[in-house]
Amino acid sequence: MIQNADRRMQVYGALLLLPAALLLATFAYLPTVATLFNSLFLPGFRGEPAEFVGLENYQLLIEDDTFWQVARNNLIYALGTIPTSIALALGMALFVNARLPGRGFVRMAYFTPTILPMIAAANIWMFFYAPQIGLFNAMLGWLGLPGVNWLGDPNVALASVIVMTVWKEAGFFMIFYLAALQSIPPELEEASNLEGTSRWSFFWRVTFPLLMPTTLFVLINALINAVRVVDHLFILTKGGPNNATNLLLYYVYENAFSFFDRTYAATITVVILLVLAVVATVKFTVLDRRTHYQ
Amino acid sequence: MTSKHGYAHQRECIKTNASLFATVGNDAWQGEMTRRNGRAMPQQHTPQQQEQHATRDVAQNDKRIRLDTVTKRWDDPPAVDGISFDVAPGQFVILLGPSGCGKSTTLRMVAGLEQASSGRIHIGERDVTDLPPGDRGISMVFQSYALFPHLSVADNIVFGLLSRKVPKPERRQRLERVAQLVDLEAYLDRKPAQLSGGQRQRVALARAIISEHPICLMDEPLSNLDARLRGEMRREIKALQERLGMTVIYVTHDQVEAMSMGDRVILMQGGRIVQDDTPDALYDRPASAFAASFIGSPAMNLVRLAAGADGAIIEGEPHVMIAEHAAVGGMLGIRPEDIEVATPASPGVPAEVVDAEYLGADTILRLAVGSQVMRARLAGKPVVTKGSACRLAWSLDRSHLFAADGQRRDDLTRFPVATRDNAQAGEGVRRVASRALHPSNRIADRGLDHTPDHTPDLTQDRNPSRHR
Repeated sequence: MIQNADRRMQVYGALLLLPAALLLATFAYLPTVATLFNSLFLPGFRGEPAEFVGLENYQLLIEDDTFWQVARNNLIYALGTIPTSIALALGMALFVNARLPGRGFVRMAYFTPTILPMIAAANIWMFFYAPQIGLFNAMLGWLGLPGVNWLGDPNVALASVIVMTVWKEAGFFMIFYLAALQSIPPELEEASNLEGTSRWSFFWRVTFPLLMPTTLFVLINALINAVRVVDHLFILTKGGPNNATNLLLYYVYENAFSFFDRTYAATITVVILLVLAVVATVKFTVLDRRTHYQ
Repeated sequence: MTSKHGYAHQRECIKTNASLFATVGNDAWQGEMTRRNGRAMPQQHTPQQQEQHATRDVAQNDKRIRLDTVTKRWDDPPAVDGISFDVAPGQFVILLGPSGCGKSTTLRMVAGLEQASSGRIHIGERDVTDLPPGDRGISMVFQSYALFPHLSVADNIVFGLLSRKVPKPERRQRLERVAQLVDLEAYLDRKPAQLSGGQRQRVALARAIISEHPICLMDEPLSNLDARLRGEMRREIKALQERLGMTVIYVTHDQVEAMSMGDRVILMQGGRIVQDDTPDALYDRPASAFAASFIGSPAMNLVRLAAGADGAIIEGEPHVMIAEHAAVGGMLGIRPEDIEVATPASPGVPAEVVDAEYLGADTILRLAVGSQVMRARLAGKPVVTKGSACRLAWSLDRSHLFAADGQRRDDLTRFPVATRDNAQAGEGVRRVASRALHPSNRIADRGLDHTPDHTPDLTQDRNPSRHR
């Protein structure tokens, strides 16, 4: 009897999980497995069946200089955008959390880039970056400096894309920091003021640790975003010049839909997935344990 | 709570407070202050201060707090309106008042968490009005405790020492001592979330004590605790304060805390001081109708006085003259515990029982007197019936007159209402009880004479403590 009731509860629980499990399986796990499977084949052209080639695609990947350039680009892109946007977001949140005139307006101003669609934002930055009529070069011109080909120069293009991403993301992350800051009771700062704690010291000993859960959340989001960039590359550079701004997902897109090498695209995707899985594991095992959750 | 050793040790430390501050080389400002005070004092003394500072002891001096017409104004009317008071070293002063009366704002101005709009605040010899909180030599216990949720109990307690760069061995030593003092030794590794309310309160206290600041400010520290714990902590805080010789300003809206802990109670209303007195003076001689109604549970009866034939009467009760004519329009105040209830045949003010509220140790009777309602506190569980008639009496020195504006009027003559000094009074009580019993009076079925342990023996003083 008891076993029966126990089993019924288990079935009940399983049924409750079913909708979510079904959706996840259909749209996340199944494609993952299919991708993994695809990466072991050569694409079949003109209706021919796909040819099983084992790890040949991976062999190709390792020898593909473009892939390594794209991967390096993406690493630089991640290192360029994540710490900067997080630091900027935190700084802006601390600023607009303080009492200042027109606080609501400043908050809105900081948040505006976030609500713009990526394509629209990229178009705005196209205007900033345009070599002849662009805002930046016009400003440099007033100062008597020669213009820079922001998106055309391989040495500058990636940095230009990074700057735009930071501009777009910092406001978004700021909102999370602002919410977290407002959940810190003001008495904590008063109590530390009474002990003559400097603001700097209070920030590092109290505010920052208390914001750690937010930082972690924002960090993961920033990382995902760094790997997920496709849209503004379409507008700004199309991965060029000479792959200088090509990033992993855009390279996947190019392989799949420009070169019609879907299995090679699948191979790159598997590698991306592996890297992200490692990062997620590190997050859950190392960082979570050191973080204070309220 | 603590071993004898820790107790004695702590006392020793406090006694040598001044030298301790001086030896803590890193506690720079304190050392500096000690030295500066020591040198500068003789010239700076005004005659008035000289009088006040009988002791030249530097540590003692740092414990004195003086507010001089301090005002805090956000908008009209000001939250704190020109308040002045002087707290002597080692005094436990309560700021009491209803919410919004400015007591917390006053405390926060002393702490430096709010800037005074005008007026000066002195701690010891220093004018601290414009000093940041950390330079004032005070510690504070917050209502919410303000513990750092991500730090262990130990780290919470030594947080301030770290800020003041106290060296590690000394930090550990002081932590040990203080943890013992507040009985937290077993919990030092826990996070605040893993503690009970009472334990968190202790952490907050420990953090205040470990700084060895001579002044501790407390902002409703007990209001988040349940009633029983509150009673315990009241005693503990008071004992700690006495043991450590701290000067304490303690903000509360709870009159029980005020009466039981304070050496002195400053009662505030609308940003101003209503009365600044010892607890017993506040109870025995409230300066205004507000003070009278704020202290005591239930509060003092305040009944309006109307014009009668030969003087002032309780409104709607024309038979008994209460006071001279000049009292008309004002109020008569009598504490519920000072009212004697006697039979209708006794002398006194005629009244009628409205209802009775039994509280265990005593019973609160609500009585209709004329158009007013008064409360009387009777011991035990007297047998009374709604609607039964009785007479009220009180001794002259337990009644208070207040003018129409609420100010106390001691210059007005009160007329004696029958008191317990009256030979008949004792007899009277017995009679009201037996009358209450009498079947013809449709009153209860149990006699006071038969249940001696519940007898409201009004012939004896119920509050001997007040006749000091």
